Order: sequence, then C-alpha cells, then structure tokens
Amino acid sequence: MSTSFNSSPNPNDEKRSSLDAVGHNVVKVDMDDKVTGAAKYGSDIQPDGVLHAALLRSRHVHAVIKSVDTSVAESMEGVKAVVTRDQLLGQFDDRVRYYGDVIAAVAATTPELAIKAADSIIPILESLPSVHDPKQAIRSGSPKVHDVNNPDFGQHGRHEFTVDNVEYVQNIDDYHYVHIGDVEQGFLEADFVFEHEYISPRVNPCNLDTHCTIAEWDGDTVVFTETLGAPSRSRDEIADLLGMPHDKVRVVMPPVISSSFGARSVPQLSFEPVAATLSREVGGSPIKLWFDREEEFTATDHRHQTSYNIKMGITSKGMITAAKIDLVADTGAYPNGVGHIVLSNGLSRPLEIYKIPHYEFEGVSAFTNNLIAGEFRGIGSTQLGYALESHMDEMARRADIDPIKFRLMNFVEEGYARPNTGRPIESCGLIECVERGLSTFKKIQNGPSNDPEKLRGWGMAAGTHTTGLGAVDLDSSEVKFILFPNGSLVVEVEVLDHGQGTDTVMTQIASEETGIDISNIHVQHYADTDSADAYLGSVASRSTYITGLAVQDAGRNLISTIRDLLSPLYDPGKIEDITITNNTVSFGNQSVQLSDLFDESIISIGFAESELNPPAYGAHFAEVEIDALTGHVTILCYVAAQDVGFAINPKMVEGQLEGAISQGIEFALRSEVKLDRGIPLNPNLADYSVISAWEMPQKLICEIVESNEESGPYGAKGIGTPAMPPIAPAIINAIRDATGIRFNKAPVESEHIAMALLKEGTNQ
Amino acid sequence: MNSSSSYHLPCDLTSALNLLSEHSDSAKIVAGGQSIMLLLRQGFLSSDIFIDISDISELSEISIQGGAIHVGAATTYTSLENSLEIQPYSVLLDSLHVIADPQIRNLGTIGGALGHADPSLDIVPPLLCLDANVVVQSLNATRAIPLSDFHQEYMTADLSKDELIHSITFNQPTGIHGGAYEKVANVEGGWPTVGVAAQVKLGENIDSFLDVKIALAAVGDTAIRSYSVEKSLIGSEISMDSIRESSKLVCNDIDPLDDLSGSAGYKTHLAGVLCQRALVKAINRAGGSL
Amino acid sequence: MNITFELNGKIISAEVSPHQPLRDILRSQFDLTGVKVGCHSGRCGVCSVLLDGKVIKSCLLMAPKANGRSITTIEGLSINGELHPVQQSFKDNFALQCGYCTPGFIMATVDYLSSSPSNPPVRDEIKTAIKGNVCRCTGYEKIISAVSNAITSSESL
Ligand SMILES: Cc1cc2nc3c(=O)[nH]c(=O)nc-3n(C[C@H](O)[C@H](O)[C@H](O)COP(=O)(O)OP(=O)(O)OC[C@H]3O[C@@H](n4cnc5c(N)ncnc54)[C@H](O)[C@@H]3O)c2cc1C
Repeated sequence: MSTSFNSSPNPNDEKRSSLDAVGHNVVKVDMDDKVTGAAKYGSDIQPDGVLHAALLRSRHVHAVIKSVDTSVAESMEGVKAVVTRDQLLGQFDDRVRYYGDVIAAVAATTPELAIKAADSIIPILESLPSVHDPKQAIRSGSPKVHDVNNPDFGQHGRHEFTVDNVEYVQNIDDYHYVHIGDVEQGFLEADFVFEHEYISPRVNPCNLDTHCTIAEWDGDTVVFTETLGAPSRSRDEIADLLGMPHDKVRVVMPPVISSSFGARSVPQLSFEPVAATLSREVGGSPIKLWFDREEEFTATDHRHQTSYNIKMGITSKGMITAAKIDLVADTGAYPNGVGHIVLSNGLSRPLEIYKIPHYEFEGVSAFTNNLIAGEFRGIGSTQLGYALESHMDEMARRADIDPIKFRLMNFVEEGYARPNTGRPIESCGLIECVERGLSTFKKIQNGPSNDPEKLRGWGMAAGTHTTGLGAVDLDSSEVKFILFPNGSLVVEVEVLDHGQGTDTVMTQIASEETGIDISNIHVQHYADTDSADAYLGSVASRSTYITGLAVQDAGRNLISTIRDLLSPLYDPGKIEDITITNNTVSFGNQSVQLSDLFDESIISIGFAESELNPPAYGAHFAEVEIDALTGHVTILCYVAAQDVGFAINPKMVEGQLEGAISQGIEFALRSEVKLDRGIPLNPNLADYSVISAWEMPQKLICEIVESNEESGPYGAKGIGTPAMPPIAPAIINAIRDATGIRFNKAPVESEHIAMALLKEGTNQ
Repeated sequence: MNSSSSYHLPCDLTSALNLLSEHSDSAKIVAGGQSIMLLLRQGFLSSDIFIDISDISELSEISIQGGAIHVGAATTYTSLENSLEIQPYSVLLDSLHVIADPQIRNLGTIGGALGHADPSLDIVPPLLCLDANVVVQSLNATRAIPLSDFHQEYMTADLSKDELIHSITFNQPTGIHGGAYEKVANVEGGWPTVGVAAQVKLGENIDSFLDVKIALAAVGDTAIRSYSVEKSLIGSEISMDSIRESSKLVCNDIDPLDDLSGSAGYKTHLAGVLCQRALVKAINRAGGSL
Repeated sequence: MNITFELNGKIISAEVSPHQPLRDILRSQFDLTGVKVGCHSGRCGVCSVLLDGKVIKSCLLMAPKANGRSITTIEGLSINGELHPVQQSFKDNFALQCGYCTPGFIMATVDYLSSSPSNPPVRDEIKTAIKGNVCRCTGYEKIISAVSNAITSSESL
C-alpha cells in the first residue's frame, strides 16, 4: 500500500529494461497450491500405519536420572514402543541439562494416546546445581554442564580452540579472539572514549508450522522426511550424532518446504534421534514426531542471548581510533556449531562496516542450563548490529556529533581491505543507502508533536551481513537443466524455497538465459540427500548469489548445446543469437522444432563457485511516537534502504525486507523467551508476543539500492539475512532520540520506558 | 471418545434447564466454548456432559424493555458490537472493539465472559459502570443479582449447579452522560495489562459531576470498582486538576500482581493514567469540556 | 457422538467427541489439510474456517458445535478450479511466502469482505480484520495490499 519501489531514479533502469524476466516483478511460482490449501507441508503427511511419538521431557534444569518407571505406558493398549534416554541412539547420558531435555519417549497409534502414555511415565531425578548466567558459567566454581569444554555432538563447524583468557576455564562451547594493531595505543590517540554494555533477548523464530519429522528405517538406513534447510550437511550431522556412517542416513524433503529463518538449518537433539530410535524399536515403521507449540518453545533453538561490552575511542572530529569488543553468548545446554558462527560474525562484522585501525575482539559462547540456542536470521550479525549501532549512536550523541555524519565518516568503501582477512570489500552501497534512505525518510517523517504526552524521535542504523559461505569455504553450487522436446524445462537446484522465492528467482534466471517462457520452467529441488552430494542448502543468504550463478551457467550451456546441434545444419554466423520459444528454437527469422533436434531430452549442467562473500548493506530509519505515560511505542514511519546488488525480483526483495522488519520490531520491542533459572515462563503464543499487522510501522517504504556486485548473477547479492541487523537499533535509537534515555537491554518494553521516564520525572 | 461423555444442543430454554437439573453434578454449560476449549486442552475441566446453549434463540436476543436493556447471555461479542441498541453505550462499545480478534469475537459471548469470571475480561468493567444485573435462571427460580455481587472471588461466579445465566440487564443512563474504556495490552487485541472503564453523569451546566463510576480489569481477584476515585469526584467541579488528583486514588482500591503482563508497580501507574484518560474521554463524550 | 453438517457445500456426518477441536476432525477425517495447525490456543489463526459464513478458529471450536451448521474451509473456496477473488488477490500481490498462514488469512478476508468493508479501503480497518492471524514471513504489508485490492476489485465487479 504505502511501499514504493524506486521512488528516486535508479541508475539500473536501463539495465532492467534490457532484461525480459530478470529484474521484474514476476509472480511467485509457488502460489497456486498455497492459496488453495493444496500445499502439503511435512506435518500434513500421514503415511499408512504411521505411529505418533510423544516425549517425556525434564522439568528439572539439571539432574541425574536415577530411574524411570515406564510400566504403565508399556501396558497401555495402542502403545507400540517405549524408550528411555539411555536407549536413545546418539550421545545421551544419564543427565538432563535443561528444562525440556528428553527423559523418555513413546510411540502409539494416535497422538493423544502417545501423550497420555508419555505422561504416565514416572522418572526419579536427583537435582544437580545449575548455572544460568553465561558469564558465571565460564568462570571457576560454577556447576559444569558438560564434563569437558567443546564436547562433540556431531556439530558442524566444531574446531579446536585455545582460550587466551585465564578467567575462562569451563563450560566453553567456543572462543574467538583477535587483536589488530594496538587498542591501548588507539585509546590513547582518542579524544573521547566511551564504554557500554548491550544485552540482546532470547528469541524464538516461531515458525508457524512447528517441527515435524517422519522417521523410518529402510534396512540399515534411516530416512527422515522433513524440511532441513541444509539437507546434506544435516544428514552428516545426524549421522555423526547417531554414530552412524553418513550414507546410512537419508533426508527427504516433503512436497512443500516449511519456513525456517534458520530454525530448520540444524537438526535438533530431542527430535531426529528420538524419532529414529522409536522407529527402530517398531521394526522400522514410520514414526511421526510433531512438536506442539510449547515444545517448539522449549526444545528447539533460540537466537543466542548475548551481552556485548563495547569500548570505543574517537578523535574530536569523530574518526574511530580503536574498538574493543567483548561478547558473551549463551549457548544453552548443548552445542550445535552455531555458537561458533555467532562469535565469528560478531568478530568480523564491525570490520566490514567501519574502518577501525586498532581492534580487539574476544568472544566466548558458554554452556548453561538454559534452553538451547541456534540459528535465527542473521546469526550473530543481528545481535552485533544491535549492540554496535546502539553504541555508535550513543557515542555520537555524547560527543555531540551528528550520528549519521559520524557513521559516514567511518564507513568502509569499495576496495577497502578488511584488516582481519586482507580481503577487499567487493561492492558497497552504504553511502547510497544512507543518502537515499534519509531523503525518503525526510519526506515522510512527521516531526515533533505538540502533545506533551506524545514523545517523538527518530533514529537510524546501518548494518551488514555477508552473502554466501565464501568466508568459511569455497562456496559452490551445481544445477541441472533438462529440456524436453515440447519446450518444457526442468531446473534441478539444491537450494530450497522456504517461501523466500528462490524457485521464482531461478525460474527468472533460466528464462532470461534461454528465452523459455516462465510458465514452461519447473524448478525442482534435489528432494533427497541421496541424489546430490555435499551441498549446503538455503543458508547464509547464498541462494540467489551462488545458485543463481550456477543457473545462469546452465542456461548458457544449454544454449551452446543447442547451438552444437544446429551447427551441422546452419552457418555459425546465423545461430549466434538463439532463443527457445515454446517448442522451437529461433534465430534470426528462422525457427526449428526442438523435436527435430533431439528425441527424449537434453541435459545441461551449470556450476558456480565463489571464494568471495560480499557484504550486503542496509541503512534503516525509524520514527517513533511514545506515549509518555504508558510507554507504548508506535512506529510512525520506517524506511529501509537496502543494497541488494541488483533486485532480480523487486517485489520479493520488498517482501524479504518487510518480513525482516516485523522480526526486528519484535527483537526491539516485544519478544523474549523469559526464563526463571532456566524455566521458560512464557512458552506459548498467548504470553510470548509475536506482532500482528498492528505493530508494524504505520508507513513503510523500502528503498532498493543496487550496487551491482560483479561476482553475483546480474549484479545480485543476498537480502534475507542482511536485512536484519539495522532494524532493532534503528528503532531503539529513535527511542533514545524521543526520550533521551539509552535502553541497553532489548526488548525495550512499554513498562521499561514508562518506568524510566517516571524515574526521570519526564512524565509526571 | 470418552464413553460417558455427552454433548447436548437443546433448542429451547426449558430443555436446557431440564438437562441442567438432571445432570447438575457433572454438566458444563457451553456458550462460544472459547474459554472452555482452552481449559479442556489444559486438562482443567473434568466434565463429561456438555450443554450447549447456542441454539437457544431466546438467549441471543437483545431488547429494550422499559428503560432497561436486556442482552441474552449467548449473544456474541460480534452481534453485540453490531446491535443498534448498544450503540449509545460508548463504554461498552469501546471494550467490545478491543477484545481479542474477529474470530474470537464471532464465538465468544457475554454470558461466557460472566460465567468465566476472569478478572482480566474487558467487558466486565463497563458492565459494572452501567450497574448491570445478571439474570440467573434454574428450573424453579429466576433471580437477578447485581454484577458487583456476582463475581466475589477469583474466577468464580455466584451460580448454583442447576442455574444458568439468562441475560444481563442494565438501565439506560439518564441525564447528561458519557462513558469510555481504556486499555493497555502487550499487543493489539491482547489481554489487558490494565483496563479502566469510566461512566460519568454531569450537572446541568456540564461543569460538575453528578455521578461517576470507575471500574478496572486485571488489577485484583475480580474486576474492581474504584469507590475512592468516584467519591472524590462526585459533586465536585470538573477540572483537569481534580481528575488528575482523584485518579491517583485508584491505588487505594486495587491489588495488582507482578506477572508476565507487567509488574505491580507498572500496573498501579497504568491504573492511574488510564483512569484519568477514561474520565477525560467520558467527559468529552458527555459534551463537557476541560 | 455423531454430527451432521455442511462441509464445503456437501452434507456429511462425522463421529466426534466434545474434547476434539473441529480442526482435528477436518484434517484427520476429511483430509482437509489446508486447515493448518500452529498453536492450540487460538493465537495464530492458521486454522481459521468459516462457520455459517463467519470466520472462527477451528482449534477452539468444540467439534459438536458444527452440528447443523455450515463449515467452509480454504478447499471450499475455489469453484471449478477457478481461484476465488481473494485467493487471486493474494497471488497477485505477493501476499505470501511460506504460505502456511495463507489459508487462515484468506478465510478472515472472505468474512471481512462480506461485512461491507469501507471502500475506498481503510488501512486500520483492514489491520483489525486480520489481527487474529499471524504471519512470520511477510511483515503483513503485502497482505494488507491484497485485502485492499480485493475490496476495490470486488466493487468494480
Ligand atoms: C485467544 C483468546 C484471546 C482472548 N482475548 C481476550 C481479550 O483480549 N479480552 C477479553 O476480555 N477476553 C479475551 N478472551 C476471552 C473471551 O472473552 C472469552 O473466552 C469469552 O468471552 C468466553 O465466552 P464463551 O462464550 O466462549 O464462553 P465459554 O467458553 O463457552 O464458557 C466460559 C465459562 O462460562 C460458562 N458459561 C458460559 N455461558 C454460560 C451461561 N449462559 N450460564 C452460565 N455459565 C455459562 C461456561 O460453563 C464456562 O465456565 C480471549 C479468548 C481467547 C481464546
């Protein structure tokens, strides 16, 4: 309604008009089944004879299991299997480590019966001392969650590390440290030094369809049917967790892929292993394990709760001289490889957005007896973005420098070599994001209010997240095209369409390269881990970037294959420019039926790799109105200016931004899984607030900035995760502007604002 | 299916009352079922016999008799909100607009709310301000109870096992009057952190209070009238100062708890703020000015 | 108990218990999996269906309540394979991503459209009409556009 695309002239207009399918608002290809209710998600599948699983979960946060009496459950008619923790496949010992840890599980003919049977199990537990503050957990004297640092639960990204901090001695999931230049020297050079702490909330992605898997055994191979964002990597992780060879585990995608936001990027401890064990107990028949909302809140991963301590020095003009960042992240009770990403992103993001001559970072992710943390949109970057951009804003205000000018002065630019890796920044639309965003924002901003009970203010934040996995490994992708004589093209890709629109993007690129009409192109996922090897899936905003390149390559290869088929018959000069329309190939004013060129089908393979992981940037602006008496925050207007390299489908880019904004608002103002010594107080949608249309900004404009990333398809880079980091700090900085108060613990709830204003006497 | 459980959908009141008296030990009345379904799922309800009153047309009628309005217990929030009879009662309308969402309002009923007796229900404070009576019926008797006596303990209504709520009645306000309901919730349509209803009657010159009623949700075991605020305003001249000062007295009458919706301190603060705002709105609606 | 009701235009009967929400009956006995499961507390709206034309959450509808009434699910909206105008509007306006919440939003919109919404559309009124439905992907903007366009185009019919 109020969104507009390209309200300012776009230098890419010409490029766009030369393209037929790419760069335009092609209607998403997955809509029909989704609007008619025909779409079958994992939880809609009900194989014949399927048995239903239910778990008995710990209500202790740390305890030893002394005994488990399953006799009542076993005697119930319709109960087909009962297993206790010690019988589960995988690395389960006799200790439960968080509220929700698995004690026992049952399989029964109906879900209701399974729940009843699980509830009838009587465990005898002996409580152990527990630890809930990650800062305490890593220091000597507090209870140990695992007997060793860095335990192996088959998680990806696990690596050896040494801890350089003598105070950090135990409960260490991961540790990252870097020192560039000499920070102490940098602080000496500064005219103004400011240090502050920022605490981020534990948030659940709250996918509407909760986790559901169907596990069954085919001989000695276990097969899971469920959405896993990175199916092959997850297959390996599950196999390692179960202690099985990788090729004895298969992961099959359901007909329609569920949303993820990271929640479905890694397997869950009390999920796949439990379903696999139960299925084995019943001779391999299918077991459906479907979490209810409370289990989703207690037993699936949350965004890491983090504390960032940032100390920064600047000159009187506002140039950054040094920054020292300390991060403590709460991994919860078990590792899954994600703590590593939180720390490494926390370490590198500041250097990808600001020039910081002297830099020291220390990050530790700690085991506690809290709920497990894992992936959620913008892993680590979202928390860092909130802390760093809050700090930049506060620093500027205290030093009496314009917060926007302060940022502009210190931004990285194209070609700037990141000091941690030496790699130059590939493309950088930061300044354009700020300029276009600000100019649009100024046009729609309301300005101060006359009502003393309504405090208005505005704020901005910049942010970045990289595209693709080039930083970790060489990122690569392979796709396959199959063209049939009737002109229909099947495009097989490894990335999954969780709804973000990759199927549509790939269709657009395939159409652009071959001329084939959108309606004749059908994207398929390698639906089974058996059919493609070592691929990474829809993570890290890599799909459009890297798989898009592979699709482009396959398209070009297809055309050259057809050219090869034509070349015995035609002049090379004539068939230089060929395109496929319906079931014919045309060139110049001639055309040939595809069926005259080949019988069954032709195949072309496309491949792409990248060592780069170009950062994608955004600058977001928010204006808030605060009810000075109740503390209620209304977001009056919001402008998200985001550099996406090139928008392959502008409407879908807007959709990604708008969706991210809703999740950023939750982070800033509303959502938090509240724990009382590890026990969740609000594990349901009545007490945990997710926002509705009402809490969205009253006016929202997306400004799509196109910096043309040379290494990406048509200049594109990622959007899904890079959109996240600026949102919460833009809102919280606006609150600072309106109230004069820096809130350093998110979410900033109405109560916090009202009570803080009351204390200051502003709202008397 | 539980073999002994049964579900009845009587079409007339007498059958419903008969069923109720027959099964008075184990029967549960169902109206919209919006609260019951949650209780069932949480295992808080053990009843096996359900008597659903939504097919009894007499119970969903809204009528004006004499100076009083009668709202059948099975009237849904949606039909109440859309009924012409209710449009003059702004205090009630305000609360109807902010209860949950269209889906819940299409099923939830006014009788269900009164039967449920949750202190956080939005509709109760406005009804308290309107001095509503609850008409309760059994096979043998009908009685009318002032709403303020109907809810005396946490989540408990003054109902015998063979009784059902027939209707809610209240008199049309006379004289120069206005009402308003103000609510703060974590998210739009969420349960109130605090809700405050105000109904005022002004003197001829619209510069003084002839009568004031204030009632609050979510700050005690039941919805609560704030007699302290009322007393300090009745008979006084209308001024922003007096409203501000009187609203502070609301803390004498409430007893909020720390919970997920907010701390007791915040709720006490909100009660005062919302009391003041509801009063101002009510006065404006009555044609008064500040 | 046995109940009889109209389901997507057909009279059918089903064996139900008072403890069961209608949602579970629709999914398990009639394979209407367009009626989704997201919570069990009436908060997310993915199970929304029409009861006598009014939108309700089927996780909170005691199954026997359907007796003698008419129920419409998302599967009952399109006629002869042609999309209902609201379905078409969601499609045209990019109003969905993962699609899990979509049936619920469409049912809420169908009810809203039948209750004489303001035209030209009013943004706040639309927000109120869909506030019982949660979407995790879109940030609601394009859903609001879809509802708004459904109102304007229904007028021009
Ligand atoms: C998701 C959700 C959100 C909600 N949000 C809000 C909110 O923001 N504000 C708010 O005020 N409320 C809210 N509610 C509560 C809602 O107002 C109540 O659920 C509703 O009013 C109950 O009406 P019902 O007809 O569904 O009652 P039922 O569930 O049918 O019955 C409730 C109780 O009343 C008894 N009862 C019902 N009718 C009678 C009768 N005629 N005589 C005697 N006893 C009777 C029943 O036996 C039962 O004990 C919410 C509910 C849900 C599910």
